[in-house]
Amino acid sequence: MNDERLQRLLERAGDDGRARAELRAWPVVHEAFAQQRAAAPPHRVLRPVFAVAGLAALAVIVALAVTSPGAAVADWVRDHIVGKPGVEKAAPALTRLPGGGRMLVTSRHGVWVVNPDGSRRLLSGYRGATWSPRGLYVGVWRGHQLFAVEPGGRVHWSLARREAIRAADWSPDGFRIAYLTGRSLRVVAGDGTGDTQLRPRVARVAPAWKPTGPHLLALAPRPRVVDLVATDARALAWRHSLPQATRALAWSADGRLLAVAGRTRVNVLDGATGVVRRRIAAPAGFAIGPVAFANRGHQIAVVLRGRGGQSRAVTVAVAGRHTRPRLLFAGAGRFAQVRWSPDDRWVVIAWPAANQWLFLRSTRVSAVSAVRDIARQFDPGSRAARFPAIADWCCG
Amino acid sequence: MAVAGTDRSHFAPVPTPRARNERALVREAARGSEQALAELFRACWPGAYRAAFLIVHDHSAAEDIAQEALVAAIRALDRFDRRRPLRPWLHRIVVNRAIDWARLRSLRREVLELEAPDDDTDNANRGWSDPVIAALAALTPEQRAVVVLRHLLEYTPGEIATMLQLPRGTVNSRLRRGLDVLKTQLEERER
Repeated sequence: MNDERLQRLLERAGDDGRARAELRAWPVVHEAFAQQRAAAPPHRVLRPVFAVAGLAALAVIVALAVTSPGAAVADWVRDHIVGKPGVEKAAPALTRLPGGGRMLVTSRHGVWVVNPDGSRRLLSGYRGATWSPRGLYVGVWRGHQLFAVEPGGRVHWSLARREAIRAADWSPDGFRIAYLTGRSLRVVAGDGTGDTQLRPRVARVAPAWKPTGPHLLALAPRPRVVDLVATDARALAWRHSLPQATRALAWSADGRLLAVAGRTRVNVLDGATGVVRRRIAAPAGFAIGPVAFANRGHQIAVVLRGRGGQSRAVTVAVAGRHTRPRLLFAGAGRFAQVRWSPDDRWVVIAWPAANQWLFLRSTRVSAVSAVRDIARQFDPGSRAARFPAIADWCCG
Repeated sequence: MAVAGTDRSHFAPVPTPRARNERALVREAARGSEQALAELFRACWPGAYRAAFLIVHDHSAAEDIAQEALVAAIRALDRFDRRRPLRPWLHRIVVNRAIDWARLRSLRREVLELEAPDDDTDNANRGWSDPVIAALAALTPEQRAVVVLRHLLEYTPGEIATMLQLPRGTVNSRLRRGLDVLKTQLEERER
């Protein structure tokens, strides 16, 4: 075999996939070019803003300590960055949900439906849950089965798949549920009919329905790619390629923005085109944790997890030209989740290291309402109670 | 990686380029010319994709690797030293990423060797009908990389050594061993 023949063989190899790949790659490369030509990327502005967040936290402590309304806030910030995690003046039990609405909480025993007055009902045995748009039903799953149940527990329908269900999201109009099973992504109608595979293989990222439009679903076919797919037509609306693997997807309520959380940055994409509108970069030494868009407007709550074990929760108004993160809370240990109340006046942080939930006012008026002993409340009777996870909070 | 459904109407075809010097294209693309970008893409994509594919033997991964390398190149256009050619720089990224990907896949297989195979794509990729791809599978990713750089992209051993940051002797030995294995494999398949 001479060099010339080898070269001919190599040039022919793999040609069957090249042309189609080229068709898919061109819009992505073109888009990267358009972004490059656009104005200076905002993350260059944001990074120093975040970099001073530590100083800002200190400033918050000092400023609040000298004003009587903020004295208590300063106490818990100081205590829980330096000392034992947790807010000292925490309620012993969850007796109300600040901001109203109803929560879905997953625990070892199943899914709890938590009412505004703190009362709760266990949907036993389920592993995950998502609200239907108006909170009339709950999509729940366990093992290989997906169910639609009433909050009281009555099962309306169920389906079983060969592989375990990992995540599900109910479309805003209630007519579709997208769910991950094994490595594939499937869509079923809200009444349990018409179950169909949308993609045979996707990354392990929960899909997210666009709040507006005809059944448009954001999904991650591969870790560094995000697609918006019209599920009924099975057509791709846009595709965006990212430098970091996607960890979570979150839509703004008006569907104009899609937050794509990676390891150290959140890319906020234009919902209509997939073009990057904002980049939120974590400060040095921090990684991006959970993110959540508010139910109105374009505020996003972001958890930052530090290498030293500390966490911060910040909110960012991504629509404003001069985006400035606002520190809500900083503490030792990981913040497992962040969610907005249905009225957007509160943000809840799940804080396993402190065994607490913190309800923080999202507005300028600082306030905190902490509840302790969360693990025992949702895992009663266990010697080693497990900290639960907030699955959803809706319907004020 | 399949695109959902069959509707590809949203994909604008790549504009047909006219042949121009690569350095001029880089300069014009850096100034914002979409035509120059399209020409660069057309010129660079086949080599980048093919090189990645011949190393990783996975169409989806090759697409990702080539696409990411091109996006990285586009994003670095402003900072790129225009006295130097673009393609060796691009190929260096492609080949290094492809080697990393292939190593990671081997590692993952070692770690997960007790798991039942659940990946149809992977299974399909194991039985290559193309004799050269099947023969390349007998080489290590590092050997495949030097064979591809030498015999597909036509770099000299000295250039390959610089690109992969290896001693030239190592490049030569990988090339020699790789070609020996490749020759044996192809001859066996022809019998």
